[in-house]
Amino acid sequence: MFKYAPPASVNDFKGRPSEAKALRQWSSWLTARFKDEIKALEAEGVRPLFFSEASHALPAGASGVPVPWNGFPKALRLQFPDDRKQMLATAETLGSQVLGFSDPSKPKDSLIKIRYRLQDEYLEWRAQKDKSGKIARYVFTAEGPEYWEHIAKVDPDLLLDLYKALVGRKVELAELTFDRDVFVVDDDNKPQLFKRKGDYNRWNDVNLQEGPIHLTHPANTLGAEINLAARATIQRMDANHQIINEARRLACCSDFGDPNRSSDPTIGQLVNATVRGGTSITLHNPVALYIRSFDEGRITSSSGESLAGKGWWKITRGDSEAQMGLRAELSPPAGANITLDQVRVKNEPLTSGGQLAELITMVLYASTLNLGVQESPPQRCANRCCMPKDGDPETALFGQVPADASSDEGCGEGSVDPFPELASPPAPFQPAFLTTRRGSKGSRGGAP
Amino acid sequence: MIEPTLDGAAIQGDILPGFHRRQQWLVAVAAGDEGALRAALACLSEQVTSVADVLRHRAKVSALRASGVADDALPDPLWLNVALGREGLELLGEGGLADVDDAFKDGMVASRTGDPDAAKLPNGSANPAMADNWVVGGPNRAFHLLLNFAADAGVKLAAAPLWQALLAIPGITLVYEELGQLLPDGTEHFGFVDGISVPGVFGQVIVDGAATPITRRYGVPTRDGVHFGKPGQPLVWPGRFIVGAPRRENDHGEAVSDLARNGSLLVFRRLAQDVAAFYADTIEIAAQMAEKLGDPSLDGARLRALFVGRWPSGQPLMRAGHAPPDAPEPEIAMNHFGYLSAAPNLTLDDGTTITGAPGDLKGMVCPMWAHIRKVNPRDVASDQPEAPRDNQLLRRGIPFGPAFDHGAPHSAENKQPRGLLFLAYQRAIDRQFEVLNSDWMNSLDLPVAGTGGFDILVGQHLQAGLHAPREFQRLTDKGPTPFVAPRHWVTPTGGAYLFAPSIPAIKQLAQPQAPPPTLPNPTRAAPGVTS
Repeated sequence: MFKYAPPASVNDFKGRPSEAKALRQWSSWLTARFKDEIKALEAEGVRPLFFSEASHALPAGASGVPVPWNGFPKALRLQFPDDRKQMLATAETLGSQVLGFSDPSKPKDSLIKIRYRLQDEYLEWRAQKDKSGKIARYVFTAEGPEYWEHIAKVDPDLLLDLYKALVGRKVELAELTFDRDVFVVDDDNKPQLFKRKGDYNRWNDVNLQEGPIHLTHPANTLGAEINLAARATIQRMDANHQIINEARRLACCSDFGDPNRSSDPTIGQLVNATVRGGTSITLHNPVALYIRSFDEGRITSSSGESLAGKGWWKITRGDSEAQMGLRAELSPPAGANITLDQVRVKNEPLTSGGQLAELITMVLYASTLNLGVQESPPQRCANRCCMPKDGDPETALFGQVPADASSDEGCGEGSVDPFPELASPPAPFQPAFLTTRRGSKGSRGGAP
Repeated sequence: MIEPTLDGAAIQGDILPGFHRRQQWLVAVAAGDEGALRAALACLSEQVTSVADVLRHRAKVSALRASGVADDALPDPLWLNVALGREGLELLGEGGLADVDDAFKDGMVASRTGDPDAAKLPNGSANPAMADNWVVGGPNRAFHLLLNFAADAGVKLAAAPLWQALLAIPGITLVYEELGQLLPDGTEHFGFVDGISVPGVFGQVIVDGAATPITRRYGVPTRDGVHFGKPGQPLVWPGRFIVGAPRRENDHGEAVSDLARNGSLLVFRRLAQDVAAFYADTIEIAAQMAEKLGDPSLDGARLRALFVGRWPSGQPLMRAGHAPPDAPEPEIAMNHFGYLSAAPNLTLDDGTTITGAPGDLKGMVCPMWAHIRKVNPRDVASDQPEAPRDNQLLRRGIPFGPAFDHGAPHSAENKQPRGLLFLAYQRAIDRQFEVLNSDWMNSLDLPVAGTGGFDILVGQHLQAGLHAPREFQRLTDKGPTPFVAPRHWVTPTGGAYLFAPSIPAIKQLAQPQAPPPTLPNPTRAAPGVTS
């Protein structure tokens, strides 16, 4: 019977009493995510071109097609087009947002904030220092937080062991868990328990300050990856009933991911074009986001000596042969006669992990089958984008609102729709069975 | 949309609209001191050809042709453009100008280009691809100033008076000179028509009081917000090529110094081509592929077309159904295709109809590793944050060396060096040339999903600092089948990152600075040049 493997097929539970249960539950969790997305498509009257390997086996030996993107946040490139120094510096900072509250009777007085890395291309990094305060390594992770929540749930001792191995000290469970209940409000504005005291906190300080252990940006999740692949199977048409092909327009019009990223529009466009005509698609098992490659040819010593192939770049978790890196680092190999502060990246002194992230190619793996599904008619846009009035559609940072939002609740004063041809004027014809979604569905934007 | 008006008298003419002459003579010189370099610039500055000069000449030629004047009776003016290396700017006390581009500041080093960095080949001889051993550029053949003379014939003769005046300046030393000229059949040395796909540029220049568009429009409808010159020729904002020019609608251009404004970053590469190896290897690999894939039609000629993405005539594989390889469509149709979606039928302003072409997302028709697809994925989102058109270059290259004589493979002439003098202008080397060259051509996986191979034509793959075999997968109905190209046929043997200033900036740089500079140090040697 088919089972989803853990990311990169790394079995952290091997030989532990929890192994069978942990692997079974992980596969079940992933299978459920696929089913949820398929059901959501069906609920909208769309014949899903998204499938799960749990339901439809791929031919023996089939390998996934790599869908690549660059690891450095495009949103920061858009934000700082002429200030590389500021762009790199901002990439190293933490963002924050309110997660919920601890006291339902006094929500405003009991707000719980989280912090997270601003690195939103499914790749996060941090410079780890040695005792003397010098940078010892730049560590990168592509691991979705859900897997670590799963470890915390089924085998807390393993969680502590892994943390200890990755941060180099004994970690207490209390450092990794919520110290109070967390409530959020539901669609009816009623408080709902979101996390219990003692549940794993993916935004814990050890991960943020001593890690990285796994991804922390609220959008960097496995759930988001599955949601994106599923939602991108819907064909979209503009106001003139023309199929939308261009990546950023498609991302604006659709309800997957963020049009400001490299990853989401690229993945979305590829998925969307691939399924056109009735081909079905899935994320290849083992489902995860991966570090595929690092362009080692760009790193040298300060004297210009190439450091490629000399052990500076290492995949430290995952399967490097299969180009499924989960965790990687740049650090001096044994016997190196220079330190990281003497390394140059594209001939610039290495001062920031972002310089290395620019050399990292991220990837997910997709597979296709022809399941004989008749493609549904294209749908009108679910969302539209907004940008500053004098912005350029190619380079502006976009906001995204529901396609039918009025200007008051939508783009608002001083903002315009960069692609008005997608959603307005309203198309004169719209089949009754096609419904327009409001806002983004799925888990990319929030916690599971 | 209001298009920007560029200063046609200020911008050098090879940047826009491009010289496109039959001959280009490249001359690299070093200056012993600041005074010598300023004197050289002063000697040249009045001769530098502007955008307006080129456009004016073209208009004149068109009018003469229309009136029946024979081609050989058309005027053949000498044109000149110049570019400075970082060391040249430093010598002039303007090293800060190098901040205009990080890659320019760093220089053309192996960690930026992916060039081999092993000094010797396995047989012990010097590795010609390593920068230390280059014919021009690199640490041992550095120069301050690159001159680019152009004419349709006799360029060296026409340039002789100016050249002699330049050499008469004390402290000016010749580092390199090479004649580039179009081959008789208008192809590059591998036999392919080159330069078919160069982006167009938004904007106009004022020439003799009249506004002239930089790129001619043919009535191609806008698609996904992209405007076109010819079909399949996207128009790109001039700020992608010209420092300080608008980069988008409503943009006034970046704030830059007067010296930087209206300049452009020039990538110069001297690429040696091994024609004999290219033909021999492609025949051999094609035979392996034909056997393995069960496709007897796959011969050397077809494989070469697959490596390029076009037939030698320029006819793209993506429009293979529209014309036979040897009788291509008119040039105006040759870029009308996309990989992701079908290109529609078009009727141009003059009534010409251009038939559409289907897409090829997976690379069954035009492989993902075909050169033209590697460097320009067109309508497919790449791994880079920009749309692929914004990574493109204004390529102005020209072949050097004699055409290879396939009828006399062992002739003395065939042993002479030959290749391409690659010249490309852009605003940001690391977002344009280095993306195409280093990120995409030199990669097995990029720029888009399912790439499955290096750019076998030009891309470089290294092991231990030396060129190493490159893999590619041929995708057919049966799935992908891996193959290997054991040798590289294109080798970098020179090059530099340069800055082509505006003509006013050249004139300003030619002037002694106030307060007067310190006396030149006669013993100061130019970088890497022995006096």
